[in-house]
Amino acid sequence: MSSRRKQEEKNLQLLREQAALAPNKQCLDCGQRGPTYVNMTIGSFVCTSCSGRLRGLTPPHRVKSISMASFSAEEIEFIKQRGNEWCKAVWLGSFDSSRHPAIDMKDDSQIKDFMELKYEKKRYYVEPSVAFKDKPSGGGGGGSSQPSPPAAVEPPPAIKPLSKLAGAHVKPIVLGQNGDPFSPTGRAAASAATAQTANFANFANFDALNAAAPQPGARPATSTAPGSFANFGSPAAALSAVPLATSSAAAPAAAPTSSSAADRYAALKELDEVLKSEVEPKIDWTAGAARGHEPAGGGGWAAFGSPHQPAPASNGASPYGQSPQQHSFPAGQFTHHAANGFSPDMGGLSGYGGVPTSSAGFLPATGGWPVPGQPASGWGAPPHNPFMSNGGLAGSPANPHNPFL
Amino acid sequence: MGLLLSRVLESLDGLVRTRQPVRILLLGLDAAGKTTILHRLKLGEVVTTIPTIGFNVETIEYRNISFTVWDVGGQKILRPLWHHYFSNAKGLIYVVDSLDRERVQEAADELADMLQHDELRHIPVVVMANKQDMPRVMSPSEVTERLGMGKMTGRPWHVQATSATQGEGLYEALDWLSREISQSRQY
Repeated sequence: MSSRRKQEEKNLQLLREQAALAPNKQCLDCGQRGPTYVNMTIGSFVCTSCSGRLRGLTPPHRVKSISMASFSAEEIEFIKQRGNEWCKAVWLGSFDSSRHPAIDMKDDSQIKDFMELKYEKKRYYVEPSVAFKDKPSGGGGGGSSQPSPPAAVEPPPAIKPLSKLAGAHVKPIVLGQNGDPFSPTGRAAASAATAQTANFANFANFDALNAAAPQPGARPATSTAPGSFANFGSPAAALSAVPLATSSAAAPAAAPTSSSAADRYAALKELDEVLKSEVEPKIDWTAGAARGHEPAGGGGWAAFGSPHQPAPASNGASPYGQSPQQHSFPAGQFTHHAANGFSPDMGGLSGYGGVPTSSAGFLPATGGWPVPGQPASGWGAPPHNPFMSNGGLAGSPANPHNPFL
Repeated sequence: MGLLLSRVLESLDGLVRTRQPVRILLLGLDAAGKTTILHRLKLGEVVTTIPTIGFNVETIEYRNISFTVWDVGGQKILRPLWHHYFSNAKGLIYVVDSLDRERVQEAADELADMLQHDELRHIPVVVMANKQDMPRVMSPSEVTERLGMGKMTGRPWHVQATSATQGEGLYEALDWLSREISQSRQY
């Protein structure tokens, strides 16, 4: 029983890793950032609205929520094989955007019509064997049809050292200020600042907020953010937020545009090496030990953050804090209740409060809820890391903003 | 005399049409069509829904009964929360996606689990074998069999072929439910 749950957790973590890949960070069907559903029929990542539309196709596509379903190993493998890049190459294989009138992604009926063309009529479908005949197999890493900042691709080896460390004690990471590969540029600082609002909107999937969020400058940082948030489902994965967080700040500076697959991986490799050589040795083994055991995040957080930026620091801590329900997105919660016809005479509601939160992708709740045994220890660790990287970043004068604030 | 008569009539009327809303559960696996059914019943039109997170609730007047229909999200992680909605429920509408052969066993298991609950012990259950407008679906009798309805005892049950998008069968199911409920009210 417990081994099954472990397996499910592992699968979920693998899924989140997939969801953090650059092409999978946008809804395949409408481009919205921060997909929350997986289309199990074709293996793509989509947003909530599109998951609804996909259910309405004939025949309906099967969608599964990333945070509210369980996935078998086979399903994970399937998603790994596919992903948005693969699906785009196949289902939009013959689609020529220059000859097709642009689709207004805010217009529900246009999206729906296009979906019907794509999936019911298979208008742009290209056989996978044809679509990938001159590309390496296993679509996921295949073609480069999706323009995306290469540095935003999650470098797997970068996660490893940190998640290893998480096992024992949590230490803050002090990134060197001299020769720091992530020493932020002015642009990174700016995008990090916008990321503040953008990434919340993003994984909350609230259309209104989201519509306001996208700004070209903020793109690389924000597009990374949902991935790292999504990783909070399990403690180990949460740690991967650290390299992500740092790399997101570095993204615009490192490589704002991508040209070919080869370049992209070159950049990745570079980043990987840089991370390996820089992040690992610079860990401060002394400072963090006590903090790792601090049960209540709040106090320590504010104190830690205050030298740099008192108010925003405590603000930013809350999404990761020990008591997410107190701070995190109250507006989101209430909106949700209202939308669903919340009525005060509902007996089960108190027990229900957590659901909308987590479902919307607020990971503090997701993490705490399906894994009852772990909240304290599980959350003890991850909150510090993003913050630590804040310490490192905030230390350099160019960027006083934590991308996670 | 006239006053007395009207009083009597009033109380008789009150017996027949109790205006107290009747609490109905609308449950089933994700993507079975619960929300579409709810909106179809309420608005008479087909709306594009998104996967329900939490619940939707509507009051539907039918045959002098006011139903409060609770449509609760059916995704796997949400299912353990269904029982929060059980108390005082007078009927259950269980929606099954007749197209989804792969998960019909899962649907059967969830139904069986749910009906173990004390709070649902004697309530009538109507199964909506939904999406009957689609080709190559399971027939209502196949759904009946796969859900193991034959073994169900101690409660009235009914399986109804429906199509939420076409509006077929929904009111038939409500008919059956309202009959069962008003029968059980005649104590």
